[in-house]
Amino acid sequence: MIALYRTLAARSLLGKKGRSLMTVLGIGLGVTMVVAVALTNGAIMASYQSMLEGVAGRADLQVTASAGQGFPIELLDEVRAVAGVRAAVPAVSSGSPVLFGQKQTVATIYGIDPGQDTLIRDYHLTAGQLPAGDDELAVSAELAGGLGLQLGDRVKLLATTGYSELQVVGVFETGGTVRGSLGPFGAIRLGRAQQLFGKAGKLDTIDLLVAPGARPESVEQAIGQRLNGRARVGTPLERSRDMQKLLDSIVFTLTFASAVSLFAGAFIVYTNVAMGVAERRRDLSILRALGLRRREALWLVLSEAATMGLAGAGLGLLWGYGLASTMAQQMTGRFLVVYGIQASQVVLGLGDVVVALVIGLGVSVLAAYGPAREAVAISPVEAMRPDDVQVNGQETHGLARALAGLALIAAPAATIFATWPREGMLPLPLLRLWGALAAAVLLGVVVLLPVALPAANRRLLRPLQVALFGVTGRLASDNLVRQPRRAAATAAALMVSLMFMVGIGGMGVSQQATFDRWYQKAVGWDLNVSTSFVGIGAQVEMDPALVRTLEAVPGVRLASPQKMGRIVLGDGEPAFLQVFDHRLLRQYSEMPLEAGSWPAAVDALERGGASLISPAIARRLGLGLGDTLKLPSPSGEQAFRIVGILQDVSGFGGTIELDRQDYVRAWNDETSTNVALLVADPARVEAVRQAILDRLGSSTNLLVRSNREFWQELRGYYESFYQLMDGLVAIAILVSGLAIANTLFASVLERRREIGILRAVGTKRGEVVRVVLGEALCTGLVGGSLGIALGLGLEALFVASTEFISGAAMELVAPWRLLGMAVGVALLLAPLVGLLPARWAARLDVVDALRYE
Amino acid sequence: MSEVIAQIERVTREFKRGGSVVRAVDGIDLAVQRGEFVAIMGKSGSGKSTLLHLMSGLQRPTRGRVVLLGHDLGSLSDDALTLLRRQHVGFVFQFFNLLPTLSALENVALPLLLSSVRASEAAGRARQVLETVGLQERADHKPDELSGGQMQRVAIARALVNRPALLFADEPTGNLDSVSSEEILTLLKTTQVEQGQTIIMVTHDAKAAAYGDRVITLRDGRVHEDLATRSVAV
Amino acid sequence: MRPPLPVKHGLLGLLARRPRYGYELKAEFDLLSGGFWDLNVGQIYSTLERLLKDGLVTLDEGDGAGEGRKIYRLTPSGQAELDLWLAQPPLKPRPLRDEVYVRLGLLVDRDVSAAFDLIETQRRVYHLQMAELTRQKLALARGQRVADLRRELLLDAALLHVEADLKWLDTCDEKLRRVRI
Repeated sequence: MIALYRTLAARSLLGKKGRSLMTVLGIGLGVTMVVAVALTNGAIMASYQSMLEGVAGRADLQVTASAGQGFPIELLDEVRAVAGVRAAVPAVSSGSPVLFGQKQTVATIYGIDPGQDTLIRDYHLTAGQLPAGDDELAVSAELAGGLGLQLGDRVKLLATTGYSELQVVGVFETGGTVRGSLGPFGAIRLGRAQQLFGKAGKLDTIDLLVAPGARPESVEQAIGQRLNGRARVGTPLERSRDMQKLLDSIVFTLTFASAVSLFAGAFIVYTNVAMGVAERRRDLSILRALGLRRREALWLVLSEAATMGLAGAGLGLLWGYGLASTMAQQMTGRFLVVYGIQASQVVLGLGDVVVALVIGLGVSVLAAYGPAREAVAISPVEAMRPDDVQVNGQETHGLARALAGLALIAAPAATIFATWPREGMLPLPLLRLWGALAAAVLLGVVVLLPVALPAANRRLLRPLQVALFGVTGRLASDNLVRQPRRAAATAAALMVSLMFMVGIGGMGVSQQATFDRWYQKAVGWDLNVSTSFVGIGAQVEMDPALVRTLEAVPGVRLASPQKMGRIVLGDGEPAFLQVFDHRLLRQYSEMPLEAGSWPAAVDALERGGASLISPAIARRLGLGLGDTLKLPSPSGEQAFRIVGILQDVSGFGGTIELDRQDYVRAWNDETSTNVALLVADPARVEAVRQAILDRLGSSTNLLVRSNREFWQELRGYYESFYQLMDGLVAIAILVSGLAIANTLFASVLERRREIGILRAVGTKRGEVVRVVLGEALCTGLVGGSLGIALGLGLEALFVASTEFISGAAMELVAPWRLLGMAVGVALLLAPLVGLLPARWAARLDVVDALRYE
Repeated sequence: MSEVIAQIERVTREFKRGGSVVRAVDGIDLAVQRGEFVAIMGKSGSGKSTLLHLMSGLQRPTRGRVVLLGHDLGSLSDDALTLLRRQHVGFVFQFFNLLPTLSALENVALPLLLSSVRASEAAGRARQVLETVGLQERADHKPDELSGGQMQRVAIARALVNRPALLFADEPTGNLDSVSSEEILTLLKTTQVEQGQTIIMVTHDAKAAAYGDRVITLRDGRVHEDLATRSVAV
Repeated sequence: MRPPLPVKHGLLGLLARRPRYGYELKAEFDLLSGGFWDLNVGQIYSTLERLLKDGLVTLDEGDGAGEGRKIYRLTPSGQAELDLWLAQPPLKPRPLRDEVYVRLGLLVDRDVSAAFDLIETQRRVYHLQMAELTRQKLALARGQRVADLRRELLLDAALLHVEADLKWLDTCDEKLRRVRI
């Protein structure tokens, strides 16, 4: 009998090819998102870790700088003197553009002591040797391949002073201890690297080997005490935590997006299985009458859903892999390059496959469970009778359902409110809990919707439809609530998509608006010159001599060196550090402050010993205006009086602003990330730019940006992220469109006879189309209005919470363009995808339809 | 009283069934006069329902001509045909075929509402017709709150609300007990006698057919017998 | 051999309601039987004679003269007989005594096409008869008087019997065709 049912089920799956395909697609798209997000996150983390591992080699511990430009080389001897240290190997590293003829690529250049470095890392030389002289360079096979390098070739490297020429003396494989996707890299002598990258007398890392018998933990502790904040010590892998923190805020949004599309996919499965089961009610009941047990019947229906779920999961794995490759590449190109992470390899592990299959299977079986239970709950005899007049889908457990729905909405909302951080940052577990709570609120809305729908129909939809379309509208709106659960599921799919669109998109709009306003005030220079500055940092800093050269270019009124980079605070967490010469800065910019007054603050900064901090730092360290900020530096702990709270838009864990004189003194670093220029005659900006290029263009990699160009560049970072989101939104909307079309097909299929009646009593084809499209429109209205409302709520939540999630303050801006689009989608998508079922309904043969049971 | 209201000429209708062609109606000629009550009888598969579908314009013939109220149906577009049905033709079916979301009154008013008659006027006329079928008290009930006979009376009221020139009934008593059947048939007969309503009814029940002035028996898609029953002594 | 019609008990039933003149009884009986039994006055009186003889009714001579003035009355034993009869279950299945059966039976092995013709003409007769019965039914003012109800029930019986005959003809037709092929 089970074999018989399988035959029936298989025939129905194959017979309804379109619908089965739709189900598989729905699940597939949902799983795609989950897989893509997981793989992208995994790929970035893996490449970051393998980079760290590759760089660290066999090192047990690593000493790194707390801020960008390294730490004094004297620390090397101090560390070597610590008991338990077997070897301490110094290195300097920097990303740098490498030129060979017309070809150019970015590589990581390591300054090493070849004699000691082999303790830590293996270099499997395939040709030549490691650098012995100051102008010698050994390159990885990847770098050699990329530029077509041979032994003896001379390449140009970007240094703080401009291009320097080096000769290739060796090529090595990146195998052995140096493994993973480091990207192209090269090795030069330590002293040369210090000179080239403006790190004279400094180191970026010390790799440590612990003596046999010594405990790494106690050695780490001893070194930490010794360093006393001048540099950090840790195991190489600890640094990957920083990366995960940055990724978390991105992944949170991505995970949310994947949950949304999975949600929509589940609705598709729900409507399809419900429809399939309704159609095969008679098959099932005959089998039940012949002695199939209820449990067996349930199992059979679920196994059908499981089959489709598995097929969808397979599809999702494939698509997800493809999408992840694109996403990883995009994210790498846009904002991970500064961390030295190169194009990463997306790896599909067994775990990902299992997770995808479990999710695909779980979601489809879960979605199918309700309709399957209903199908097997009816008695065999009942199902074999033709149902002439279908009872209106009345919600029997209306009250219980309403209460459950309200509870699901109220409890998480209350929890979020109760756990709203009054001070400090939002801990990651709490952030994840909030995500779960937001999902619970959504679930509550979904649970509540079938109960609310009939009431909404009576009060709003029906009168509206009657006013617009007369009796066809009336039929349309009433048809919607006949299967309230299915209608609710469909509307919910649209709701979730639009909520996502408005919520995430609205956050983007708010963020951009906030940014634009900030930029207008805070960035006032005419031109900005750098060699490798990408907006949040540079690969190679600029030598002070360059600043003086720029000052001398005719038409330049003022040249102000600016420094931007990462700093690791005493609490081990990173922050964004910006250093200005405030004597100059005050002539072209005003930093927007949340607390404190700019003239007083800039006076204090000019005098020295003062700083500005962003609210995120204030929260993190529990500091306020007038308090003292203590920062670790190579010259020991430095104290700064907080003279203002910055308005922050960067969201890299908070911003700290110092004056150049303090920075140069404590960090012993005169390089700059970029140079801000004011021109004498604003109308001659282009001429000045040309003059700079003429003067310096041949000796260094020169990036000259106008104020407008820089704005566009920075905006680009936001936009690339939100473009990715746009893609996800499009997928989610596509899936919900499928769900709507699907439900309408089900609706038409069930009501074939009624359509026959309508046609018989004189309803024109066009009017039948209107009845079906009217139902679609109602779905759109319900899903759309809820989605937009929830989306705005979500945006408000995002905007309000971003300050203690990413550290950037945001002002709430109504996303008018998105709202317009959402309204458009709500009003147009459903009728548009409804056209096909509507046309089908209109073309039904009247007599066949009348005969249909 | 000899105006031909519906006429079919050499009408044939074929269906494909599993690869072979089945001829449900095979070259039938038939004319129905205004005011007649024609009963079409036959065993299942004799083509009687198909004949009704062809005459009413619900289906188009494979060959032959159908003229309804002076319109050659073959020359009408689907919309024009639909409008003709809406304005001049009423239907009563075996399975009542009421729309479950509408009340009895709304079901009756449906054809008027489709013709964009003002809602209040439509409701008024629907109420009147419901009264003539004796269901004024059930006006606000939904179909699932009515008995079979009541549902069929609502269906008749719906068919009559437009004062159609022609009323088609397809096994109107097929799903009813004998007493309800009699009520329905008497109701149909009354509209014929009192309002001159032309009725074409398909039935397999000789008792129902006995209400007609003409009993046409179909066999294998052809007219086997066309019997006038009026004013003949037993 | 025709079974006796229930004239005897019909008369007893009529007299049970009230005593009646002889001439009244003929008209009343016609109403009761729906006019389908063509009883003549003679049959009525011969039955009354037998009832008198059996002591089930008595006869009162009224004023005036002639048969018309005689009033018949039910005796207690007449009442007892009536009650007994009414309480009895129907005695026998309806006998198949129609001429059609005999003629069709004879034609089956003699002349099949004549048998088909017979079926056709007979069918036409039955249809016409049903139409006539239906007209009569429609003519009744429904549910107004007991007499009308009584008559309607009889008309129903007649219609259903004719319908049965029609269905039988259809079955004959079908079976004969199968045999012939």
